[in-house]
Amino acid sequence: MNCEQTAEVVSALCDGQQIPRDAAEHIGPCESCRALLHKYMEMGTELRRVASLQSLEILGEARWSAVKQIAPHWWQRGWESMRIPKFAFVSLVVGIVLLACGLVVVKARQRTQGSVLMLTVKSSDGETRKCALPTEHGNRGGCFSVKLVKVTEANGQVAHGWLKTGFRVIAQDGNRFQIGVRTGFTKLSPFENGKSYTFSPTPDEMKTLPERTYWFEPGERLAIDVPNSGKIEVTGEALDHMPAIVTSENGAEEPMDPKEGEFRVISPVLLKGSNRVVDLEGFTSITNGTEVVIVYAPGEGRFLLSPSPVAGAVEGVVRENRITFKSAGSSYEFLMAAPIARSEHIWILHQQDYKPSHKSVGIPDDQAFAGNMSLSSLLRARN
Amino acid sequence: MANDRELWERICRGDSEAFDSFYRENGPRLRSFLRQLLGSPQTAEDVMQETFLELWRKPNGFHPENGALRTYVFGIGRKRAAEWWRQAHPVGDIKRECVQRATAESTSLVSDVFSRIEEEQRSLLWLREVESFSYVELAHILGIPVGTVRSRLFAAREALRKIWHEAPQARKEGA
Repeated sequence: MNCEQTAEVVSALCDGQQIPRDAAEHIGPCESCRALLHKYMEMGTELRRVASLQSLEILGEARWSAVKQIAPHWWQRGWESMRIPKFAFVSLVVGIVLLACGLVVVKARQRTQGSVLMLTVKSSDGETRKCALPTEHGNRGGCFSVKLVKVTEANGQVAHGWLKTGFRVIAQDGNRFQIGVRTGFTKLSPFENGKSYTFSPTPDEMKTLPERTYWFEPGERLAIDVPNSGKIEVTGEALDHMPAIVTSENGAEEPMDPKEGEFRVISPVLLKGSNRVVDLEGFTSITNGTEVVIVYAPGEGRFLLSPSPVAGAVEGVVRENRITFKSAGSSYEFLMAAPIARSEHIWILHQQDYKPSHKSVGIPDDQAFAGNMSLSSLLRARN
Repeated sequence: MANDRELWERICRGDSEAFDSFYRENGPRLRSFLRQLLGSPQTAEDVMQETFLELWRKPNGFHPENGALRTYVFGIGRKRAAEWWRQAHPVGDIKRECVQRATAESTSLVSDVFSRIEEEQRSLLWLREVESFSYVELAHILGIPVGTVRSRLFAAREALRKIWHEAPQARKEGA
């Protein structure tokens, strides 16, 4: 070997990397390579010296400490201990949200009328998720989801990406269903795997993907090729109602109903009349009723959702995953991804003039957000 | 300090004491790194504060199974720096830009020379030499394949070495 061939190895040596034997044999007696090694190490030492000087500078006032944290999310607390497949859960939640956004009346309850095609979608990495599709004409809706998958590329390297899938029932002929399937795969750079993402594409985004149609009969196995991500495998069964539970492969079940006293706000969408004014998909708050949920919608102000009466608040009517109320002469409706509470009423305090920048440093006025706070904190803040 | 999963769970529960400890340990380090990217100490301070504010408000972006919290924070910081750069320099690209460092800011010759190599090279060298991130962590922070970290580090060292070598001797002595 010569110096030119070993230069990169000299650099790797600085990083504590193991180097090939022939390179090590060359570098040992080579004055030129040892000088290069010395130079690299000298540069590293200088950078650390500069860093040491800068680290002594006083740290500024912590701006984060002046800002209320968006409350710990239910799914964060329960995510690791969840017994059902995570993406099965997310898919179900997302499916319900999107159905709700499209104002398709689908209730995640056993008493829902009509049959359902329950698809099980298995991606190339072997994980599965459920997709429930109402089959009655005029009530079909769709089921869209995004799943993080690992794929092995042609060069043998493992890559990550988002696998988008969307299903809908187009027609039914006896036991056979014509389904429309949209798929897509977006590869991510390694760092992006650590980012936070929303869990579903928008319906508009899904519409940009080509739709293929298949005739499918429950009990059959349908293999669909997704470019760059391998095949997905679809199986399914026909049910006579929308299930009230998420069913995993091993039969574990999770109830969708709130517990006694529980107040759940999951992926809230706020409608004003028929217009969607804010969509906080992914936000989840489940409390025992001692806290309230705040939702800020740019242009609309702040909404306080309280399970208890609050002075100045209007009474909203709870119907499973919806809260309807009137404020300032307009009709509003909150749609959630799951049933909200056993109570039939939630109180909404609408603060039209509220702007986040008036209260907290660093929070822009043009971004929607949601969070929790205790009622007493809120009242103190108002005074 | 508790392990990352414990720490993150505490942060998710709104434990400001745990977050403050993490901030005090890593805030100055992140600020130093950002100063290498942005040049201005005040901008670096602002971006560092925004980074911790984002983590505090939305800790759910971090996934313990994907790496260390510190790696995640440096990744966010670098992204925030790039966003700041795009806003301040609509026609520039931070990846190709070199920082114009005022002489008064120069702590040494290497500090001055360092500002003249490309942003990605600055990031790689600083995070490796000062923060001792592994090749895998560097790949995560910079969004590049792990297999290219070694060669890119070599290119960065060479870029720095050549500029340093070409620097006028008088400046070296005066540094």
